[in-house]
Amino acid sequence: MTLIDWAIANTTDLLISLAIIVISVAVAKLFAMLIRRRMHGNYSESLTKMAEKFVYYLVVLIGLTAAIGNLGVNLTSVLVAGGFLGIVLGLAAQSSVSNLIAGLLLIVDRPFNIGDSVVYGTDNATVVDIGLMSTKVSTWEGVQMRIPNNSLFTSSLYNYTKSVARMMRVQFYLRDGEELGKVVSAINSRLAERWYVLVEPAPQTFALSFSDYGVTVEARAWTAGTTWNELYFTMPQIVNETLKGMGVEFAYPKRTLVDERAGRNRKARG
Amino acid sequence: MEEYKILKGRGGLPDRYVRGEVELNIPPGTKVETYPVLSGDSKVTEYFGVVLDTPLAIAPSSEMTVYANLASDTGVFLSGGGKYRRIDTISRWPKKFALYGNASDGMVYRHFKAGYSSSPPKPERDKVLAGLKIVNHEDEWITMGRCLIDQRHYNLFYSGKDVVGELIEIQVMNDDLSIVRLRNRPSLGKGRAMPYMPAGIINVLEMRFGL
Repeated sequence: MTLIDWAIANTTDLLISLAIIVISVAVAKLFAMLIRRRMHGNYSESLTKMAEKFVYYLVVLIGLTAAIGNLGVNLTSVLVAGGFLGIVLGLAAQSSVSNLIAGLLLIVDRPFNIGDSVVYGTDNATVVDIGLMSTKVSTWEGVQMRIPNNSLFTSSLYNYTKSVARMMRVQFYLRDGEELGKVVSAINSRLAERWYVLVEPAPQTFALSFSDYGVTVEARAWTAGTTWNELYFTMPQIVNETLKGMGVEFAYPKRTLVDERAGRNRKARG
Repeated sequence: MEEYKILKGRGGLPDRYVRGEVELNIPPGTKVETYPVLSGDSKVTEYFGVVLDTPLAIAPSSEMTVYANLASDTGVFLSGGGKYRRIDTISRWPKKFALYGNASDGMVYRHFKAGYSSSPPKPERDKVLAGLKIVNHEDEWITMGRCLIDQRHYNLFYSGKDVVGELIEIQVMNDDLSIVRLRNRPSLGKGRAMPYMPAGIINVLEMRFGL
């Protein structure tokens, strides 16, 4: 008996199985929708999506099992055959399983939520979706990136949204002989004037080290997590304008070259 | 400060509220009302910090009440069916913010430095009178430099022509922990609560990093 003959002989059962699958998909969608409505706003977005997907696939799996059973296929033998197949697939799907477990752990641990600003590797991004196997982020350049959950779980990830306040630092070089004290107080007061720079901790500017360039100076200012962009985009400009207003020049790298033939020293900028 | 305008709509279109870049439609059946609100910026933080200009010392196991004038803004509300929704805030105060605690676990608050006295000061324009009742449960002297409140739940009251804030009670448990309660009654005398605040909420905030 060919497959076509079998299908013709079992048309009714085939149609019933097909109906079971269609109904189970519809019921799965309904259940997922009910879960989304019930959980939305009460639980995190990521947990809601995870629960939604879990219920959806569970109902579809039950429907598929029922549909196969309806066709007279012995599920026990399928499961026995599936056992061997499971070992083969299990070996092949090791990374998928580790991604799945990592996904569940991410849900429990909650190092980030949907909408959080994160840095993964060298990429600044916003979390778009947390799935069972992978997490989707949208980089600042607008590119969507899919990261396997296992990689996320085992590597460093910076979450900027979790911080209520953040510090920004700007380093620059001052020539020897510039009045450091005046520069420090001018930059501190210019930073303190900005509404988004926190009063406490107050802005700090100080000599950090000495280098070939002169004195390395660092300016630090704190801002609320929600006003980070204001500080990030303006602080270097504030430092620059303050120094220019005072007539102070940045130091540039200096090297002293000795011209032995001429028997004199020449200074060069580079 | 830029005042707002209500523009009349044409051809059945709803009226519009306009102030600078803020512009929105006023749905039929609602109206625009203004009330004083505690000064702040909800986009940055919901917490308001009363920073005393000189720290206040309180004797062991004792209590005292001081009064301070706090900055207030003008809240613009849409009202309809007894419900209020703030659509804009007109402020005459430059805003500054500060961090309480640490960057991961603390809070950013609207920083307002205020003088204080043991008797109520004279009312000032764009300010509300607030009472701070400090109860020291410690057997040691304590020094208080600031107090944080959640301004979403801070009630203001009309007391005659003046605006009086809700009484703030600070229970000092130890050097690190204080519990700040908003007592849901005016700091002074009797008053009529602003209609935009839901009644009967006693808000509690824990200050876990000292005063």
